[in-house]
Amino acid sequence: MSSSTISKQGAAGSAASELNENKDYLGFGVGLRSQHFPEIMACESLPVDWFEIISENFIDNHGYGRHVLKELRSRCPIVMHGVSLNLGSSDPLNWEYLEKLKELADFVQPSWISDHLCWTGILGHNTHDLLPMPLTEESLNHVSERVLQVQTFLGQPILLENPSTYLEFRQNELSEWEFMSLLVKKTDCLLLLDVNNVFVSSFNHGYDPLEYLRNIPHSSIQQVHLAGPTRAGNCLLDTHDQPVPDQVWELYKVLLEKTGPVSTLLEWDANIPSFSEVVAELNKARLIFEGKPYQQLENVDINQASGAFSSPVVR
Amino acid sequence: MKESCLKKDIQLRQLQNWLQEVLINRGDLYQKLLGAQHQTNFTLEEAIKETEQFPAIERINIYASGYIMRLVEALKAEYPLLCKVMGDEVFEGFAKAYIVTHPSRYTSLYKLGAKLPEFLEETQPKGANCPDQIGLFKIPAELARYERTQAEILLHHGLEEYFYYPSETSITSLISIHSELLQASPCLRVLKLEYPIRTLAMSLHLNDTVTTPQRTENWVALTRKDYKIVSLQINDWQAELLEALKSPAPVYRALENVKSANVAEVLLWLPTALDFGLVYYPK
Repeated sequence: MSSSTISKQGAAGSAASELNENKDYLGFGVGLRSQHFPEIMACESLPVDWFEIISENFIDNHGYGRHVLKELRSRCPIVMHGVSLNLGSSDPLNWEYLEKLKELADFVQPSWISDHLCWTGILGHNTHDLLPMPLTEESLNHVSERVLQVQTFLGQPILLENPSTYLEFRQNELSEWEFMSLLVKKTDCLLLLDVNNVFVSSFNHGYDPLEYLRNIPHSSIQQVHLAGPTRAGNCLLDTHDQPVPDQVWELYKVLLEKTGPVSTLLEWDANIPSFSEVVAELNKARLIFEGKPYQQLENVDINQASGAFSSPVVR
Repeated sequence: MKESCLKKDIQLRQLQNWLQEVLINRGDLYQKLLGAQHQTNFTLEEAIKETEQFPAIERINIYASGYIMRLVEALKAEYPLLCKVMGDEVFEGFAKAYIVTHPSRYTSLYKLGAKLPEFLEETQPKGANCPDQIGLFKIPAELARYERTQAEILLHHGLEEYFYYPSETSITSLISIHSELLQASPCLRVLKLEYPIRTLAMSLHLNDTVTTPQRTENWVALTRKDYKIVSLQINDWQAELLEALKSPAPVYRALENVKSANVAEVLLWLPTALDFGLVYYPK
């Protein structure tokens, strides 16, 4: 990338120095999972501040899930998180999907809508995985243009999440935080920073997660994800199947110092425990936010697993 | 990696094409990579960075194996009884073959398994002629159809939002049903099956010992009530009547399309059909 086209260091640097002025603070939430529907519907008083739904699980779903959603939307804020927007794909945008996403948003009235900085397929295929982008100027221009189109269509800024990645393309010209900083600058989109994904990707690619956290534009971070990864040989996999490890809590603590209060969500998508256990894990984030001594938390090691895979199916 | 080996002019589309080919091609990882190279003229070394601890082949394998495992898990969740009947190993074999043959083109995983029943039908060996052999292949295909139908019903529009009138069996109400406008539930599905799949499914649910059922043609009506699946064994005239009520019609008119119905029998059955959510009074 030529220095005359985009001053990438400048973009990241100036954004990072801004103070957080996020007025859309929702508090602490969890991902809404069908396994927890009975417990949640039986709650007189919800023990979480808000829920995040996987948009695709509710598009074209007119069964019990839609009923639960109808009940919950009047009780607490809900945000919509998608996995099939396919923003980074070189295919044309899927307008049929976008129409359905908008229909769901009209029903849910979410606080915001998010998806990922990734692609999921080309030539009409969907791999149902969050595949890594080549971090190039071409990609940046391509994704920026599509983010602008999506935001215009939905009538609101969208949030983009940093995915966990296991490979980097040789053609990369930018780091992920540089790419995201420039994307924010070009589109005014917001960020969903997955702290676990920063940890996983930095481990897998050998960069410093603190450098990532220093350079991401803090004022654009509207939401944070927390989750537990799995160790598989020489790498970490984003499995969302266990408690948040100490390293991720440490990074979360560092991030909070930079962002101030930021809506925080715990994801747990495989080996899902009871709702109360998920809430107990979320409450560790509250402790950290309240500045309670970190030592109050249990030490959590990252489990090893040979048959694990990333980005589990969420129902 | 020498700089001269790098293809700097590679476009986004080419890189994505290469990675997707690695994921969805048939074969083991090396065959997938060869296939992708053949189709895109692009190699692993040209595409992926690596470190000594974490070589490029292991990095790409996370995506290639994760792709299959994730979708197999999704199919297992949609077809738990089929998986129980086949056993994990056989089910996974079919699921992998299905995923490679019908890569997903849907934004929702709900649609991933839509063609699995047909896939099982199509992959039955030709020439099987003894009853046990035929059943061995036909029963899983019919069970898959049964489970897929259930999955579709759970997501479809149902009658839960609809105001429900408890049915009565007084003579007056039975006579009034005869001229009332009735309609099949929007999520009702009627299956014609060659094996007693409903009984088999119930036994599997209850973890009962299961033996290969004998061939016996039958009808099953599947619908949803209070967001739960209702499954009923029905007979020929009941299936015909439900078919005739796909569009709203007075019962006497719908009965014109039913060959062997006894009116008294029909009137006595309709309250049950209303109670189970097979039919309703459209507004």
